[in-house]
Amino acid sequence: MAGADVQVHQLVKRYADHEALRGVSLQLAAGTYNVILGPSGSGKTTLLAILGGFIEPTSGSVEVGGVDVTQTPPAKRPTTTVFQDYALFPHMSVAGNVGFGLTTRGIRGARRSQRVASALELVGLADLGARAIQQLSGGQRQRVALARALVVEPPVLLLDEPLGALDVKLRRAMQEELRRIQRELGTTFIHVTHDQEEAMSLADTIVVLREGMIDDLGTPERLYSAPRTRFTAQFMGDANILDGTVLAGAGAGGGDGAGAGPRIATALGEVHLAEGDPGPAAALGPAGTPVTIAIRPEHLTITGEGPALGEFTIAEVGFLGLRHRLVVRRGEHTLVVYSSPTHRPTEGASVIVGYDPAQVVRISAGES
Amino acid sequence: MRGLGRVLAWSYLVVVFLFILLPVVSLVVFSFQATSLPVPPFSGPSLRWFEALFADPRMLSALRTSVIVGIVSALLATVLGFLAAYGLGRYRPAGATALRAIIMTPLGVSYLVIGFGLLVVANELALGRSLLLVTLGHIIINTPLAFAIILSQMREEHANLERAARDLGAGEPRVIGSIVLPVLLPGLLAAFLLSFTLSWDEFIIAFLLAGFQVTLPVEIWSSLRTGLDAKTNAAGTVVFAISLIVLVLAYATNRALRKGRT
Repeated sequence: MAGADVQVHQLVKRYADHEALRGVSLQLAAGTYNVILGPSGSGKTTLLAILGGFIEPTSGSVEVGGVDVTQTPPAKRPTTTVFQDYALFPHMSVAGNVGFGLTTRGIRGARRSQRVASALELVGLADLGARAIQQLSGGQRQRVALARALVVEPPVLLLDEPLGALDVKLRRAMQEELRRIQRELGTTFIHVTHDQEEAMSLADTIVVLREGMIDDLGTPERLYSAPRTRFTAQFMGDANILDGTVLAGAGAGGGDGAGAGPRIATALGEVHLAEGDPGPAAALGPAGTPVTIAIRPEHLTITGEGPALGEFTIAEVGFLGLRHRLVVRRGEHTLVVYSSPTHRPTEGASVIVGYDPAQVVRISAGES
Repeated sequence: MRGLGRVLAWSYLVVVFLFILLPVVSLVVFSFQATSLPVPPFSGPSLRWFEALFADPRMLSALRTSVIVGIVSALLATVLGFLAAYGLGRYRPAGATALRAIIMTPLGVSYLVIGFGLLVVANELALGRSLLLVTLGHIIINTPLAFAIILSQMREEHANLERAARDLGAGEPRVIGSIVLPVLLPGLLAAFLLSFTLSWDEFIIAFLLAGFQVTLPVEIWSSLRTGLDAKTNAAGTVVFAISLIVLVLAYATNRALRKGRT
């Protein structure tokens, strides 16, 4: 069965002492891989539980495939869930677990066993149907949970931090598997995680949740390269955030080869933006308007290219394999810079930090 | 010095075990007595008192009655204990702590008080003494025990299993039948078997409330009144043996079930 679209209108979930969701509206297209990303306490698990029908929202509604399911109990919803702890039935075999949803739907006998077999094949456990759950590894249990949720061909699959309990290597492999299975079935996947790398490698659309509200929403590329908020910029990996004001004479250009873009005064000096991109100069407002910009560490250099932010001292060097992660300092200001592994930086050395004006991002919602 | 300590420790152990087990051992040993008085010297072994026991229609009838009262009361105590434990453990309604305390109160009340209370109520209602009342009394004393055992077996992650079953389309009857009961099976069996042994052994309530038909402990007591006889020892040995078998069974099934699920 193909996936269904999911629409969420103004979801609010209020508890006695706090608000878990404070008005969340979403439209997720059918057949896409959606990741809800946020730190703990952001309301992402609450949102998923409301989609699955385990928690009733205080107000707002949920539609799946155009049908309002807000009041529908989990058993009757067009969704199934892969639970964080897998919640496999310990007294049933692998096949018994996978076939459970078929039995509740009155599918028995040869049709049941055939569908169980193909679900197990889909997740790469074709021969393990007769095994007891206790005989499986963590990764295998994860796959059984996935097969059990998918065998009933739900239009929407909910995944609650499904890879959290796996080690890094297994997690990578399972990410690829999830992606492949989602493509193969065309089911709408809604996957909750706090891991931004996992989100970026899986999602068609990432929804960043913060304190019960949508902070930003878009493709992984857009969220990474042009985040709309400071929170998203910082959550999607290392980011250097600078507060400043728009300088008069924007567009006049400078004599230092920085191009004709607008200029912003920051605590680190003037920063030039490339012309028209990615935050159009017109949107910056008149001179004196406060503005926040972000520069990713990979768009800073210590090898002399681009306009300079000035001289910094290398305070920390971390080796990440593909690159070094440097923390550089001038006074109370620090920046994170990625440099190539061929260049071996030393702590305490002085470097001129340059930047790529085309990659300076203006953050729209600069508050907080 | 160390040697002396060991000797003392072992002697202490032997004395304690003698103290605990001597009555049971002497009861069992003299049930195999060849002569009629269950006192030293031991003249057996002989099975004549067991033969006499199983030839005694009153003893046999009491044995059967005890089994039936035990099974029925243990079954109902387990069902009631399960319902209370599941309701309070899973849904935590308002006042759950108070309810739990109320359910547990019979454990702190002496059997004499429970039996006497039931007798008074039965008299008020003009009900005669009967096995039904004995069964009721045993349900009262065993429900708190079954409740406590089953509640102790309930885990937070079981709630997730139930959630997963509902998510896959199971209605409440199927959730209970396919998930809750099988997952709690070790606890349910333990509760049933322990309730059975307590009912099987119980004397005071059975004595106060039984009418014409009596349970085995009451029958043994009345035969003791008519005179000391090794047949009573044989009956005691049978009671003890069945209790022991049931307890070992409870332990073994619990172990086997647990082993399969970790």
